[in-house]
Amino acid sequence: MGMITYIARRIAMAIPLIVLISVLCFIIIQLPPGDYITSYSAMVAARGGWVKPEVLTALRERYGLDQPVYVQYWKWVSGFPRGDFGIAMSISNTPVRDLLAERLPLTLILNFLAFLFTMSVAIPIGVFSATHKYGFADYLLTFIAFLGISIPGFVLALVIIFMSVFVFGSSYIGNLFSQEFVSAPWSWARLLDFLKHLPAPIVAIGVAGFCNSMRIMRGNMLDVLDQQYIQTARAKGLKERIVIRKHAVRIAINPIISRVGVYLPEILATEMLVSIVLNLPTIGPLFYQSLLAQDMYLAGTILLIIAVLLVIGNLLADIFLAWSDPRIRFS
Amino acid sequence: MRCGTWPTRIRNRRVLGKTGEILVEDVNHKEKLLSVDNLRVQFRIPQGIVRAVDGVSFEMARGESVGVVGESGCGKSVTALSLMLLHPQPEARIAGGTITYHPEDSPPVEISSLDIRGEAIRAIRGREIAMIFQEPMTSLSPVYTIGEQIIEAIRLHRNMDKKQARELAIEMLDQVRISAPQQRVDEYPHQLSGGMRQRAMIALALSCNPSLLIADEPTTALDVTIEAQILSLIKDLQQRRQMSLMIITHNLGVVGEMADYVLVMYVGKVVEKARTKELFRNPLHPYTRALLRSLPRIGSKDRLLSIPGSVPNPYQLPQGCPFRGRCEEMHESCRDEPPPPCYVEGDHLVYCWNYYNARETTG
Amino acid sequence: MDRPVDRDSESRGLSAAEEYRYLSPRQLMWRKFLKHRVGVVATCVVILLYLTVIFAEFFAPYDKTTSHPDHLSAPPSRIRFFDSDGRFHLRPFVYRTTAERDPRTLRFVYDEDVSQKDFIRFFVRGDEYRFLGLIQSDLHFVGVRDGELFLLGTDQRGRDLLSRTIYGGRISLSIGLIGVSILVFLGALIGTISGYYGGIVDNVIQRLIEIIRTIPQIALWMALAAALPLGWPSTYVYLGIVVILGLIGWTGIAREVRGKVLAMRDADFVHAAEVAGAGSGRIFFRHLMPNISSHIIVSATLSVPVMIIGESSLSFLGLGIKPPMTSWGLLLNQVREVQVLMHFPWLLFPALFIVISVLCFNFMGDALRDVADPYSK
Repeated sequence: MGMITYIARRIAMAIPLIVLISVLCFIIIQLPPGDYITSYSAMVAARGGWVKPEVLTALRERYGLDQPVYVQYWKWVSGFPRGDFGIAMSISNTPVRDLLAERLPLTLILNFLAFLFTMSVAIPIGVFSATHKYGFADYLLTFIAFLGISIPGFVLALVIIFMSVFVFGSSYIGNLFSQEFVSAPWSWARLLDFLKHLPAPIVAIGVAGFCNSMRIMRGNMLDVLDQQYIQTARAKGLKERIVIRKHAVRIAINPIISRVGVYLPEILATEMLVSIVLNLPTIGPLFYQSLLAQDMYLAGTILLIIAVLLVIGNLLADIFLAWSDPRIRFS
Repeated sequence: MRCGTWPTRIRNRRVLGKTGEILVEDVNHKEKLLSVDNLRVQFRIPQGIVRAVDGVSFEMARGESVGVVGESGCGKSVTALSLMLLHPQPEARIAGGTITYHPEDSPPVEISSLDIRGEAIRAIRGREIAMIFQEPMTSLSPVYTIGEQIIEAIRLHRNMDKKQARELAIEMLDQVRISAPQQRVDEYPHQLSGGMRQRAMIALALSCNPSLLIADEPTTALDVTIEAQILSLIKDLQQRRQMSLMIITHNLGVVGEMADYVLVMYVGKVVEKARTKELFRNPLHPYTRALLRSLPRIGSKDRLLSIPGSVPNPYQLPQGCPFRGRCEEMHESCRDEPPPPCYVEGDHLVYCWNYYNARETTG
Repeated sequence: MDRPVDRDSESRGLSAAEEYRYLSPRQLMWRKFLKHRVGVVATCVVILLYLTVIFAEFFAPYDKTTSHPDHLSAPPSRIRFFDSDGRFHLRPFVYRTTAERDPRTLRFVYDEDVSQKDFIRFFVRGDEYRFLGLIQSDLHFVGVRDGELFLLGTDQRGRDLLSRTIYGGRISLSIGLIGVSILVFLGALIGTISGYYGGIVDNVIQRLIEIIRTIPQIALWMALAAALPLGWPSTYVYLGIVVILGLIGWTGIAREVRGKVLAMRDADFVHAAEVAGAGSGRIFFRHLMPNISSHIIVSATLSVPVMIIGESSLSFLGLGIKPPMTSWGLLLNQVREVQVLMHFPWLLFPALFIVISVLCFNFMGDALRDVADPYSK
């Protein structure tokens, strides 16, 4: 079959999915009673202002809010190829595109780093736990794993803040940059500052994922170690270390890769929560603010972007899996 | 039937002593390859301790083939695995006895005392002693091509570069009668049929020219027709390479075809040891007799005979002879002590009170 | 569990075989459950928690709205057994505290008055309440006769945190149960339909599930919660939150159920029933459901933590439960600002309750899973 065909097929399947997701997001946007303009004028009124009725009508027309639902949908969606995602009314009419461009890169970096952290810690520990089954370390790690998945993301963020300030005396909490570096151009100093701010959010985001992945890796390893081909590998005279690394882990890892599609939303969700608590300049807090302000177009677009990111992430994971496990390629 | 005493008849090659030690070797003698003396392997699991192998002794000479038969759970696989120190860690351990391997041009190695993770045993695995397993489906790693897996073994033990190793791998695939070996070498196990996979396993095992090949139920998972092909292949390769073969099976038919002599095992112990022809002609131990009797015969319409009772609980092995309770010729003494070995007619060995007592009474 | 290389089925021991033969499935399951010690402990804790919040009026030292103006943002009372003279008292006590404003930081500092010992008693008379609107009483499980007992400290309005946490537990834990009921009902129903009828129906439902699962749950929750009309009263919001949580979580159970139904649909016993003339409904209720029910129970138990965490997260963000109701998440909303957290760290206690209940439900679910499906890892 070949990789190219496989990739092409998966991409083709992803597109209708994204379309359907956009429909779902649009439905969510429409949920609050009244329409966008009603909330807008309510918000303005709350601030003690007043909008002229002509302006309201013009806005309604612009956004097609007097049109049937599917037309509105089309208007919303048709702006996408142009890069027009609408305007964030609650943030002094900044184009959504600009807001996203500001925050998207950091969001991706943070999530990616958190994902790396999770996997690079969870997998070796899972392997260790499996090869030292029923030992003290194994029981301890199992308990920690349970604990880890029982702590909600925001609680963990709070605890980390608490510990960073009280236990470690660190001041690199909240935001990803210190005051002086927030709008500064990139430099080594800024990078260093950034790195110092990283551990807290990454640990907070990574913990739940780490605990799950570790348990799953352990389970997979135990399954694989029972298999005959491990015995064959040993019978060849290979060092145990190589047997584990080259044969056992190589196969045990596949189910984890195939489940990346499940992890990604979780990591993203945790990242959003943690970012809100720690006030990081990523998409999460923006989404949150937009919801509080009932700026539904902003919120809906962000929702869509998040979903698309995940679809892409899934796709990449599937491709990686196909490369890693030859059995999938040939089916 | 009498249990003979020393000295017994001089067979073609050697004179056996009271306890089976070799006293006189003939000019045509074959070298000793492996000797196992009172091997005991235990499993420690939460439910208790299982004596999987409980005092097994035998010898193998170069070029000889031994068949090990017995029901599931009798310890034959564990015996084989422990020869290469592959018994499952951490549950199993060698609790006693010795395994000694005699390489061609070096001093004998006491395998049982080697470090399980050490270099010494790893040098033996694959190189001197190789093993093929029962399930060809799962014996090969699914994520590497069969070429890669064979080359891995070759480059581990032999000084070859990638190109040479690949050529050797193709050559091996050809020897095991796999068609179009140049293509197959780059295929994945799941692309091959069961029979072909087992052939690939054999190619892998023989790639470093071992002196002993252990085959643990190599054909149990295969069709009867494929089984015949594989067995004939193994036999052919064995003869060509003057290699020793240990074939483990529960199928007496396979043993008849492949083995020079047979070990019959029951619940961790050897109960009878004899040349294959001799065993079939003259089975001594009640268990062996029952096994042979339970084989269906072509043309016969009699009811299939099974052995009454069931295998004893391995956590509570009974005292005395392990077969007691199911044996038709049981006596009082069978309950108390396990029977010692007794030679009947040369090198036909049986562990049964009936014969031992008979020897005593007739002196 | 590992076994010797020779896979002998009889190496389980006679007693296990006997047990297997003579006990009914229910008894076997019960025994299996009891073997999972952690699960048993966890179940006890859960039961204890629910009892506590059901009888919140009794167990909480104070009413949830009672405020103590003299003790704003007070730290937890220090329980002592030894007094300032070094004497040991069997009954624990606290010193009466008075507040003073520190002139520099303008914050309250609490001094202990060593001359006033308030002994902790059980079954104390305190704030009046009406249990279930019927039984009037003022009996509290624990408290002090005079003075104040703030086992977890007070918040910025001087309300006892422990009491508010217990009352908050009512909301958090009940949402857990009700939400799960919706979730299980929806999930089981849709999953069974999907698995049983197959074809287009199955395809459509699977696509739908895929779409919903692609978007992170928290984002969906947040979006839907934000969609609740701002003017709604507390109870409507409560119901809204419950429905939202259930509405988005059913996908997990639906998938599991579908898988099981698919596996069983082609089983011989179903064919036999069909051939015998049984209709779909009968097949469903008498044949399929009993086989799936144990898995559903396990999934349900494991979904409760998701509900609890979901509600807590939403309320923490201010998108969930509204006052005058209170929940653990809402209580934690106070610590959103780092300043508050730094100066009044005891306000973090409700998080402990969240973690404990989630942990216990997870252990319970794990134990139940061992019981229901001994072959799963």
